[in-house]
Amino acid sequence: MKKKWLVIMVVALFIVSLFVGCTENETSSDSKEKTENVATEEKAEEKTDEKADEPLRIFMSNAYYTAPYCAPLNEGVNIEAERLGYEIQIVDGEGSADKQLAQFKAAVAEGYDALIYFPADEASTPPVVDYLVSTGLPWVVLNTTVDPAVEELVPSTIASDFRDIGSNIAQMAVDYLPDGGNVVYIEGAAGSSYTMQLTESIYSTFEENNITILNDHQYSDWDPGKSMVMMEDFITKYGAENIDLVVCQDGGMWQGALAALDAAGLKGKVLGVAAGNDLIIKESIIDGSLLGTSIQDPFVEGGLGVSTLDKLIKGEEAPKWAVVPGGLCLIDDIEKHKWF
Amino acid sequence: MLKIQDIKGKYIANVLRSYGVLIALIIIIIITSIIETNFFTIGNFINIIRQVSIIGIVACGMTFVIISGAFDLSVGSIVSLSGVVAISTINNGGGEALAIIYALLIGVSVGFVNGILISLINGKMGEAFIITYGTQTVVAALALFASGGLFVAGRIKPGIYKSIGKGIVPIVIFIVIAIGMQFILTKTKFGRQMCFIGGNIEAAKMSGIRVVANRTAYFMISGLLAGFAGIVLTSRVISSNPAGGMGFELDAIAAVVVGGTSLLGGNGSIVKTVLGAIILGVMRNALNVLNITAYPQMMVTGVIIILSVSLDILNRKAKEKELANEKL
Amino acid sequence: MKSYSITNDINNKLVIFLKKRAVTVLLLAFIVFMVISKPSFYSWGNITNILTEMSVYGIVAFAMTVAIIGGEFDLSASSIFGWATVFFISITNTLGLIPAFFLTLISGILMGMVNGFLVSKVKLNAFVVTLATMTIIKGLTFFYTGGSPINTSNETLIAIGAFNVAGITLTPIIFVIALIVFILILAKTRFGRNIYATGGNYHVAKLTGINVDYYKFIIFVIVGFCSALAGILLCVRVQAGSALYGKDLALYAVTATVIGGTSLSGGNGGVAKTVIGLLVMSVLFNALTLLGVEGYFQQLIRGIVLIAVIIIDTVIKKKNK
Repeated sequence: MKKKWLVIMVVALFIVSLFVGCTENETSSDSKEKTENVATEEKAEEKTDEKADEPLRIFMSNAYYTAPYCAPLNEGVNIEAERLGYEIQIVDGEGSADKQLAQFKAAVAEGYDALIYFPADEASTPPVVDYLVSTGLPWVVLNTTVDPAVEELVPSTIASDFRDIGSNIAQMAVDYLPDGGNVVYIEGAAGSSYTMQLTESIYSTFEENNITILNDHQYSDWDPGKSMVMMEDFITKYGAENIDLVVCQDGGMWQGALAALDAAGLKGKVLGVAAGNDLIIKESIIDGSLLGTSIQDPFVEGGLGVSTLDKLIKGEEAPKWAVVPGGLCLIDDIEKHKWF
Repeated sequence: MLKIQDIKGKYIANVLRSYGVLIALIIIIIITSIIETNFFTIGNFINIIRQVSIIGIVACGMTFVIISGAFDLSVGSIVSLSGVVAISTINNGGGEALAIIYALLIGVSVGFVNGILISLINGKMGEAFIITYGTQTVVAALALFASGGLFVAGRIKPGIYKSIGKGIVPIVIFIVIAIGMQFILTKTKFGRQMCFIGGNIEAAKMSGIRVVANRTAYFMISGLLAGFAGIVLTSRVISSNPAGGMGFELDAIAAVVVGGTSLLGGNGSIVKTVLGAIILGVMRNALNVLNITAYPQMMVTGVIIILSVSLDILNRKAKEKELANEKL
Repeated sequence: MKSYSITNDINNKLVIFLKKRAVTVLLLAFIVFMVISKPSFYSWGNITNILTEMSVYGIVAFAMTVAIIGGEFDLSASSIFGWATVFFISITNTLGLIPAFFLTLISGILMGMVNGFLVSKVKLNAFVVTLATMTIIKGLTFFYTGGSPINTSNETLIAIGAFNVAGITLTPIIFVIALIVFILILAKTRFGRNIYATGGNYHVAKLTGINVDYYKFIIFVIVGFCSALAGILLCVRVQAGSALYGKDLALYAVTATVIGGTSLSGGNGGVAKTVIGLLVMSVLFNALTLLGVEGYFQQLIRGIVLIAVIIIDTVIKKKNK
C-alpha cells in the first residue's frame, strides 16, 4: 500500500518539478534579460521617462510560428524588443483565429502590457480585432493585413505589400521574356493570403504581357520536396525546351525546383525568379540560375513591428500602415540585403 | 465445354480480384498514356519510381509495425529531423559518413523509444497511437530546434551523399530494401513471429516469444528506414526542411493499406506495400501530367484509394464464398 | 481496532479511486500548482477562456468518443469541420442564417453517411475510408471557395457571437448540453448500450440480434453531424470559414478521448472521461501561455506530457489489476 502511495507521490512530484523547472528557467532568463535591460535602459535613460523597475511585457501570437519565414521574423521581434527594453513572449497560434483569441485572453489575464497580432488569414480577423480594441492596450497587426471591414480599428499594421511582391516577380519575368513566353508557376499554400495575392498580381501582369503559365494552380505547401516532385513532372509534361522560366513564390520552393532542374542537367539553362531572402536565393542569383528576387526581409519586418508598437506605447504617432521595405533585388544589390 | 468456360471465367475473375490494385494501376496508365504522350516513357517511369522511393522506404517499415498490430505516427517527424541533422552535419564539416550515421541513429533511437514504451506497457493500437503521436510532436519540435526553424541549403559536394539521390540509385536502394524486408517477413523466424504477435499477442506471449524485444525491434526498423528516407530526401532536394516529412506517416499508411495489408495486423506483405506506393505515385504523376489542378486532384486521389481497397474487399469476400462452397 | 479498520477502508477506497483516475489526479495536481504559481490562472475570465477554447473541438471529441466506443475511428472529422465553416458562411451570405444552419448540418450528416456506408456495408477499414474522404472533402472545400478563406458580416451571427452572460458565451453552453445528451444516450438508452456491445465484440453483438451494421453506420453520422455543428460554432466565434480550419481536429479528438481513458479497442469508456482528456489538453495549452513558454518549447512539452500521461495511466491501471 505504502509503495503504491509512494509511486503516486513520485509521479506527481515528477510532473510538478517538470513545470517548476520550466518556470525557473523562465525566471532565470527573465533576470538575465532584466540585467541586460538595465544596461540598455541606463543608456537610453534620457529618452525614456519610465522609471518602472520591471520592464513592460509584450505578448505576440504568431499564427505560423513554425514556418521557416517566421524564424527570422521572431528573432527580429525578440532582438528589437530587447533593444527597446521590453520583455516579450511569442506563442504559436497554429493557424486558428479561435486559438489566437484564447491566447490573447490568457495574456490579458496574465497582465501583459502590449500585444502583437500576426493573423492566420484576413477573413477571420474581425472578432480578434474587436477583442484587441476592447482590451484598451496598445497593439499592432504584423505581416498580414486585416479584413477591410475592421481596418479602421487597427492602430497600426506592419506588413509587406504582397501584391507588390507579385508584380515585382512578374516584372522580372516580363523583362526577361519581352516577347512573351511560357513559364511554370509553383505556388505556396492554398488559402494563404500571401499565395493568393501574389498569384493575383502575377496572373494579371502575365496576361498583359503575353506570358503563358503552362500549369494550372499547384501548391507545394512551402515544401522543397513537393516542389521538386512538381518540377520533375513539369519537365516530363512540357519538355525542358518549352519552359522558358520557373516562377516560385519563395526560396524553399525554388530550392526544390532547382534540385529537379539540376538533376535533369538544366541548371543555368532554365532560369527562375522567386521572392524572399533565403540564402539559396542569394547563391542562385550569384551563380546565375536565378534572375532575381523580390525582397521580403522577415527580420526587418519583426523589428519594425516592435518599434512601431513602441511608438504606440509611448503615445507617439505611428503610421497606419508601415510598409516593410521591399523591392527588386538583382545581382548588383546582393550585398545590400540580409539573407537567412 | 461449358465447364471449361466456367473455369476459365472463374480464373479470369480470380486474377482480376486478387490483383485488383494492379489492374487499377494498369487502367490509370492506359488512360493517361492515351491522353498524354509524354507519360508513357521510360524516363517518366524512372522519374515516378524515384519519387515513390522515399515514401516507399518509409512504408516498408510501416508495414512491419502494422503487421505487428500497431502503427507509427512518428515517421514523418523522423524524416524531417534526420534530414535536418544530416545536412547540418555536412554543412558544419562533419563529413558525409558521420551525417549518414547520425541520421540513422536518430531514426533507430526514436524507434527504440517508441517501441520500448509501447511494448513495456503492453500497448495496443490506442497506446501506440498516443505514444507515437507524442513522439511525433517532440521530434518535430527537435527538428525545429536543430534547424533554427529554417530551410537549410546543403553544401554537398559530389560524393556518396549526393549520389544516394542521383539517377536510379534511390530506386535500387528502394528495391534492395523491399526485397530484404520481404525476405525477413516470409523466410525468417523473426517474420513469422511478427505475424503471430500481430494476430494474437497474448498467445504469442504464452508460446514463449520475447514480445517486448520483438515489438521494439519493429519500431526500430521503422525508425531506421524513416531516418534513411530522410537521407534520400535531403540528398535529392540538396536541402533540409524542418517540416519536410510532415504528413509522410499518413502517406505511408495509405500506401500500406492501398496495397492490401489489413490494419488489423497479423498478416501483410511488403510486395503489396510496394505496389500500393507505386499506385499512389503513378496516380499523382498522372494527375500532374494531365494538368489537373490541386483541388480536383485531392478528390480523385481519395476516390481511387476507396476504389482500390473496395476491390480488395470484394476479392476477400469472393474467396470466402468459394471456400464455403468447396466445404459444402 | 474498529476505527483502524475504518480508516484503512477509507484509505483503500481512496487508493482505488486515485488509481482508477490517475489522469484526473495529475490534472488536479497541475491545477493546484498553477493556482499557487500564477494567480492569473485562477480568475473567472481565464476559467471561462479555457472552457470556451475547449468547447468547439470538445463537441467533436464527444462524437469521436462514441465512434471509438463503437470500435471505429474517423479521420475525416477535420475536413468535415473545415467544409462546414466554409459552407455555413457562404450560405449565410446568400440564403441567410437559418437555411445555412440546417443545410450545413445536413451536409455534415450526408458526409457521415458516406463514411458509414463504406464502413458498414462495403466493410472497408474505417481508417482508410476516412483517410480517403478526408482528402476528398478537403479538395471539395478548396474547390468550393477557390481556396480563399471567406467571412460574413451577418448582423445576427455577430450578435449571437457577442452573446455573453458573465463571460459565458454560446459555445460552452452548447458544449454542456452536448455532454449531457451524450451521457444520457450512452448510459440510459438501449441505443447507447448497443453501441457499447457493437464495439465490445462485434460478432457476439451480432449473434444476440443487435443490428450491428446500423450502429456502425450511425456512429459516422454522429461524427459528421457533430463536426458540422462544431464548424458552425467556430463560425459563431470568428465569423469566417476556410478549408484550413480544424486541420488538427481529428487527432485532437482522438487524443482527448484516449487520454480521458476510453480505449481505442472499443466497447468501453464514456464522454465524461473525455472531458478530463479535453481539460488536460486545454489547461496545458492555457498554462503554457501563462507560464511564458515559447513556441517550440510548447510543442516539445505537450508531446512529452502526452506520452507521460498515457504511460502513467496504463502502468497504474495495470498495477491495480
